Amino acid sequence: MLATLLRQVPYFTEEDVAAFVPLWNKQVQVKRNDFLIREGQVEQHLYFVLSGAFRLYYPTPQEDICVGFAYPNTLITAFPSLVTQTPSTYCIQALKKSELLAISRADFYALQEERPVFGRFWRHELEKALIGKMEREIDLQLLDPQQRLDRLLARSPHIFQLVPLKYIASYLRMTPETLSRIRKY
Amino acid sequence: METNTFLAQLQDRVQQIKATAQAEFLSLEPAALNFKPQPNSWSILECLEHLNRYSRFYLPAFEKAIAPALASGSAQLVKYSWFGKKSLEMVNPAGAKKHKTLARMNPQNSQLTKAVLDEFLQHQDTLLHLLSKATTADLNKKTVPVEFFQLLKLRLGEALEFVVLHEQRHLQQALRVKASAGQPLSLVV
Repeated sequence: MLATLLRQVPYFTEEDVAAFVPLWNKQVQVKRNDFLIREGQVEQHLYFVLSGAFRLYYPTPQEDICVGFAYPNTLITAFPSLVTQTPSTYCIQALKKSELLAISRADFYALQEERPVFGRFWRHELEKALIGKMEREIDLQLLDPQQRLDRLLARSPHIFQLVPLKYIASYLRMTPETLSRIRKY
Repeated sequence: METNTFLAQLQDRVQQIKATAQAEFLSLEPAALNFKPQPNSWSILECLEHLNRYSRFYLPAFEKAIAPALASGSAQLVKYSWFGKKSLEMVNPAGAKKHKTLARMNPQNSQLTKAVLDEFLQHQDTLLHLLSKATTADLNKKTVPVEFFQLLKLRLGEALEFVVLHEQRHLQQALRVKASAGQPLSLVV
């Protein structure tokens, strides 16, 4: 599944794919509600979601603030912790029984040195992720909950099929009641 | 809206659909045409095949409905029935709401080749031809049977608009699939 997707990246040769795929050598299974990363752990892996769904959130005493979701074909990691190698402030929790493949940070960084095309690949992924974060930054400034919902649906039309409503409400900074009401229109 | 303006606008939209499909899909490899972003979502070819199935039913029905010519057709105002308005609402690409299709209209997991794209483009030519012939027809006459319940009839005008709008909806879907095939992965941080 990973190999099929990687072959679609236009600048990867068959050799690149063959060098990359074996490094994803850790298979992970997570039960519903279990954690991929908890607060305080240091992230050592980049994960590829094979099946299932995850939420990425920032825990506070009052509530968990959802900042992102991952589903099949997404890469996920506790990014600040992966980069700085300090304890994560974020948690990644499975929303249902999920399977992932993982590549270690060390292997991935070494491969980028060895084959510059993976540096380019990683830059592209980071660029897309940054654009996504900037979109969300705008979302959060919009006062009208309907506008925030519309923008999310334009970006991720499948989201309601994949993620329970209460987490989407948290992601959009509104109560589940508000989300449920505006969704009707 | 007057019949002539109405038909001219539909023709423009079909021209655009055809041009977009040619520009965006003709040069794609079979792998890209069959790529599914999610296991249960449609590929580009599945989106087009879904539209082909509608065309195979509705284009001959239009042909039949257009045949009786009406001399004073062009100045007539195009009106909508309640059911016509509902049908158009349902396929409007601006609406984010998803609808389940009928099993026989769902091309999921059928074996599809580039022939699907060729057929789709042929249907657009037929549709353009029909639209140009329709200037002399009475667009308000309830003459087009509804695919899933043929006792129910749509007015000719609203049925034409329905087919065009439905094509726009799934063409947009196919374009989204293409965009996600170009960037097969996404990173969540």
